[in-house]
Amino acid sequence: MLEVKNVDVSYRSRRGRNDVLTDVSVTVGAGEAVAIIGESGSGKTTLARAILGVVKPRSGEILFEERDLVGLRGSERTAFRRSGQIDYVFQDTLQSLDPAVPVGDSVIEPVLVRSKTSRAAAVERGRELFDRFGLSQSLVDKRPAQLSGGQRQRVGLIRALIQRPKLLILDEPLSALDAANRASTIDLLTGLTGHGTALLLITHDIGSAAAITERTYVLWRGEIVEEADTAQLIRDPEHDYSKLLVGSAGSLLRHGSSKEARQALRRRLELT
Amino acid sequence: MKLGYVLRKRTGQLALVLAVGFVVIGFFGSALAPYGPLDASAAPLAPPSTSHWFGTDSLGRDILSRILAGAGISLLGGVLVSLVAFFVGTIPGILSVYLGRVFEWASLRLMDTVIALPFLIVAVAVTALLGNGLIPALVVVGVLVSPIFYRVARSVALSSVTADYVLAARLYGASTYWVVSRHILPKLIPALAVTFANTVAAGLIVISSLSFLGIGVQPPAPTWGGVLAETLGYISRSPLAPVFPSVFIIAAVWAFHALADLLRDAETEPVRRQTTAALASSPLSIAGKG
Amino acid sequence: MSVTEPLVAVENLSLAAEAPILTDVSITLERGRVLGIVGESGSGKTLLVKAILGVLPGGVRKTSGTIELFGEDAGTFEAKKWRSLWTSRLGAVFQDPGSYLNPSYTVLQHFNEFYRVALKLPRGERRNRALLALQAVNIRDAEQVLTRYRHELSGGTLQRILIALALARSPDVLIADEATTALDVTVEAEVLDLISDLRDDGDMSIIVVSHDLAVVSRLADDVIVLRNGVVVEAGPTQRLLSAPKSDYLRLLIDSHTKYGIDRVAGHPQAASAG
Repeated sequence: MLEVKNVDVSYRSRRGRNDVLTDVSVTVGAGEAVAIIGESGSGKTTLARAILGVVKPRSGEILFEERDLVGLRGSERTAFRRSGQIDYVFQDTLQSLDPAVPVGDSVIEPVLVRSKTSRAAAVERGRELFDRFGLSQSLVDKRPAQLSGGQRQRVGLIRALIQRPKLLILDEPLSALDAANRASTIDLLTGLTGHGTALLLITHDIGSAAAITERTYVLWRGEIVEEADTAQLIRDPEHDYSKLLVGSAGSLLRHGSSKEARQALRRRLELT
Repeated sequence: MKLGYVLRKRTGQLALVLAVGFVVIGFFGSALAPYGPLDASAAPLAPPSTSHWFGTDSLGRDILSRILAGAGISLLGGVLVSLVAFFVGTIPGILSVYLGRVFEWASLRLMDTVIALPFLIVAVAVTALLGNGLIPALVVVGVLVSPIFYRVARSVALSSVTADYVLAARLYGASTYWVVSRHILPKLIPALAVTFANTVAAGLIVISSLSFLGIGVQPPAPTWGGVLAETLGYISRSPLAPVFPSVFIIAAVWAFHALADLLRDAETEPVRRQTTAALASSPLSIAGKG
Repeated sequence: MSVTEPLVAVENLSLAAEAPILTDVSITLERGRVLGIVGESGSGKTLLVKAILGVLPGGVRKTSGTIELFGEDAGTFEAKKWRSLWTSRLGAVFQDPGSYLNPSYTVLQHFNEFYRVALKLPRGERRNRALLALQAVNIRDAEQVLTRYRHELSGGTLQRILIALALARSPDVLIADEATTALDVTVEAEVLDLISDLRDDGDMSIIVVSHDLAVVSRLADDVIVLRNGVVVEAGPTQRLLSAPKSDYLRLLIDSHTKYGIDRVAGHPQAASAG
């Protein structure tokens, strides 16, 4: 459904060309849950932005249901965005929700922008989702700053889901959540794939990838260094960086690599 | 909603009453004055009495009447300065974010230059060049003060343009019109309103200063600054007299500044309450730890 | 104080501001051991740490209980005593390392300030000590790093610098409060490995505070689970992990076993040391 093929993204600065992504290829099938694991500087946010058309690749293709996304012109791109087939959940809800707008209104904004649905109908759907996501109706008139981090996160999710996209791209959806909210959000997200929504999870937390996704790509310094079934990646990573990631991830079983192993990997990767 | 916030506070009530009162006086001052401002209605330099609440000046004119009659010009001057500043500053401010680096750079540098000029001295210079007219002087002052509007407008536009919530709106296909009307204007208007109120107060001071210096309004027409200057001239013989115009100037300036502050507070109130609550329950950072 | 006395002993501590923050909390840190405190936001963990360090903010009062540091009642300490503890026996690192560094100082200047004021080291010795301090926290290019400013360095490096600064005091007790929370996963592991080395090599006694049970269990010998200001469970790490008694601890464990990497793993990873 989504095919990213050999994408290069770079930007020019006074010091020359800065390659952010090099020859990146990713696919997400209909109803599939896929993760892109990367840390800061890996280029994962840029990849998301390229898919969303915020950033233009220097070369390569991005196809959604066989349709080219890179070459879309202004009005075509707006039309595509209005079709609501791909939606995006921001990591930082304090920035991605208008601080002056009540969350109830923020949540229905996509509906109002994209369709001729009446405001009343949109509000109704918004309230329905508030219920489904466990948010009290009393929050509808509050501003984002008046909600807790977990509540805001759910508002951001509702906004992205309100029109049932085919593909949902999420950027670090769990990072600001406490244990209980994390669990319920993960349940929610895995439920989505059950209903046919594809997920592209962009994160540095391999644990959430383990909980939500079937396949994982590992992104390091702008390149995909490994692609595997998530479970396989965790049990038997191949690339040194994948080994370091898996060995560094928080775990209670202490099955992961030892200090020495991690240090050796870091040295091999020239990280330390 | 914002007005409600302003009204709930005592300062707000006072400021609003004063501001409205001054505006009324501004329009109807001459009609309200007990005596003609230009008429000698009693003995010169008379102290305050029941017939002349503020006493009389050196020419026997009732000071209260002169103040009431001069209110219109003084306040109008303040508003005029603000209007000029608003129109000259706001649009370039917003455009500086959208029109590209060259325009941005040029307008920023221009505003930096303008704001560096001492407006009173430039006003005096303009008067010397163009003759002793009040309107030209006020327009010039308006232009000199416009960088304030430029900066406020630019600041709001800038933070909106780079904000994630604007990106979010674009990602679900919102048009520029939608983004501007829903996300940018609602932030711009309160900010500009606050600036406007502050500028009226500043304009008031400017015109009082100018007329104090004898620029603009020709004697014997009264203005607050002019009356202040006159009464100061004979302060040794009538020590109370300068107090009255001063009080009016100070009160009016205060009222508009207070309104501006309260409008700003009203806008940010829910977030401030939230932040205060959050800070109270979580530890503040350590100061002075080794 | 005797060698066997705990370095930090908190007994039945209750703190309150407008509402109760901590209720009847007791913890002890023994010499050479690592104590872990697991608590999410609102648990009161950071204020507990600040109480131990003597830096409670103004509105927070102690309503009952005692804190003993190195055998003495901290309630009796005056400013001078606290200052001497901060510069010689207690070290702490917190989240967001950047905010604890002066943006107009180079790294070397940070060290110099401490060396000059607290240790009264002569000028000639300071740079060398700073170099050694950075190397002790596994920072390569220590010479380069000393000349850098806060904004030029990554989060992981900054945090290690803060640990180095804390260690410059040769403290008996090191407190790490969410020290790795803002860091990327591999960088976090690096910092945690460093803290683990400190325990293994020296006889540093450490309190590790985190919302993440994995972080705590990686390092700690004993764990305290804090929730809404109350100790929910306490005991040796392995026992708590294998036999949790409270629902809350089970929820925290589930975060990893049901909703994390441990769901998939369970087979030892075939990581070679190269």
